Amino acid sequence: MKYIIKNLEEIIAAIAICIVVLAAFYGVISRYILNNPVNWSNELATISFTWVVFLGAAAAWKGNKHIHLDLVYNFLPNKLKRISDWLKIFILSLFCVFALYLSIKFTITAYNKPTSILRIPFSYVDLPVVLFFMSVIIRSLQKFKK
Amino acid sequence: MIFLPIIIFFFLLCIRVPVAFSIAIGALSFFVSDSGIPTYIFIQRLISPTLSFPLLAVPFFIMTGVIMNYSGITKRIMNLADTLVGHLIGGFAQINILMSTLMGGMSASSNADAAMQSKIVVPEMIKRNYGPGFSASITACSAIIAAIIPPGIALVLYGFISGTSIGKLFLAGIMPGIFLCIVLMFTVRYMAGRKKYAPSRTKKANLREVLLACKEAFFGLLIPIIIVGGIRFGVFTPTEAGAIAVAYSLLVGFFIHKELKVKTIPKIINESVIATSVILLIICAASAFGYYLTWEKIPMILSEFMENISSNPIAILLIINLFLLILGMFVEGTAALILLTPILVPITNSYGIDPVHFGIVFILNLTIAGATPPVGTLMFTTCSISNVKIEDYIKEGYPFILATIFALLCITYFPIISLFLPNLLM
Repeated sequence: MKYIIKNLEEIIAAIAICIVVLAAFYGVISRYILNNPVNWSNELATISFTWVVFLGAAAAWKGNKHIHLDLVYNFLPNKLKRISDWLKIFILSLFCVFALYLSIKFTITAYNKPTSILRIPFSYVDLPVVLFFMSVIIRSLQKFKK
Repeated sequence: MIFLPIIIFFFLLCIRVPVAFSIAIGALSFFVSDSGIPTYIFIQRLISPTLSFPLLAVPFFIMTGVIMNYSGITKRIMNLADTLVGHLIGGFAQINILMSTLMGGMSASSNADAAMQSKIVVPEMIKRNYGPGFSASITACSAIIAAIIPPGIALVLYGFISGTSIGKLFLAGIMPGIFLCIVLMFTVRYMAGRKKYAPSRTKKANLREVLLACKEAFFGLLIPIIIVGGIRFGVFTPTEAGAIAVAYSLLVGFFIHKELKVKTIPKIINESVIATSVILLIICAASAFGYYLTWEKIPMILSEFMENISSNPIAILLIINLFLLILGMFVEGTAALILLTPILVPITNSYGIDPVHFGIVFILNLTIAGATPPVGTLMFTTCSISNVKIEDYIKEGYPFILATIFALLCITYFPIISLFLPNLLM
């Protein structure tokens, strides 16, 4: 259980990427081998892809894997380094909270809009963005507490 | 004021905010300032790239590359390269280059290629008394080849953003890739001859050995042929080609080479997911940023500025070459590619430069900048994995960097090198 909570983002993203591969592969198979092309495979693949990207990006945040630039920072004197660190945390938290609010609002209004082929509410497409900002905030707080 | 998001972006980059977040915050600042655009479009633009089918090719090609390393394909390609060029002067460096070229047809990113070779080839080279700086720099410079030999993530991204045919771009990358390979091999021959670096095998492999190595590597070498051939003959789209390549390399790993274990699958998935989402998050942020750029007509402002400088396409290409080399030394390649494609392509189009040709030049240019100091992702990747000092890298590696720039200039001013194959075949 503890393992699942600790690696929740990775697990969801892993399941999603398997769906992406299988759906896209099935799309080709259905066209050439089964001679019965299906139209839902592309949509399923792209929707799952949204889950892969945002949950994977959350996992990358947790593991500090996002690309950043050290060049200018390394030249700063120590005092400025500390100020810039605090500034960075301040701006990032402001951004994440605001973006979380925006994405929740967006997801709720999208509930009445169905996708073009599978006819599922668009909220399922937008939800990973909400989860992404939530995960970034929660995991940062966890790190901070340590 | 209209440049405020750009200023915010650069400022955040400087204080070590991750690239994707810097771009996103810059973009959001545009949506919240009273531009009259509803803020929810920001979230919509953030999601939209992940809903595009062409971009699905990115995770597929990344996955294929990861699977190959675990399924013994990489090892067999190295063996093949050894029988082909191992007997030449500076044999290990020659293997390094040829391997990048062959693997370029399977792995889709030069960074992945550089990381893999720093683990496998560089330790071998240092053991045989090749200079550490020499070994690391030839690894980084030869990895550039992998970016333009199809399939390539950069080619997919450029094609997607600029609306250029990805199939054509794939074909256009082949000859410049081979050209760069030849230029580097000659440079190594000259350099290694002076330093008296030993070949990796005492005598030339006979025909039987070469054929045997070919047979071993056969299933791996088939991957680029399936991808490029399948796309060219309209059997599948680039994205579907990616899905096929994933399935194919799994099959080869499990049933033909029998080196892939079920146990390593979670590791493969996790590696691919992280690598994919780090790139895609930048693309998502850039998509929101792109909304700002088009709304404020920044590309038009810039292209008018360029037209005032010169009306000659050759001069413009030279300016762009220099600009990209310098910019690419400081900004990460993928981010620069995504942000600059919508700005530069309309400019070069108005000068009558073929977008397929420009794509190859553009990508090559940024990737080369990634192998040059002071900030280069390729340089950092190789130096950190193979534990080589950056000073050594620069001291022993500058001839290779100069050689790649020479190749870049040839490819820029002789469009025939990139356009020959797509014009012939498509």
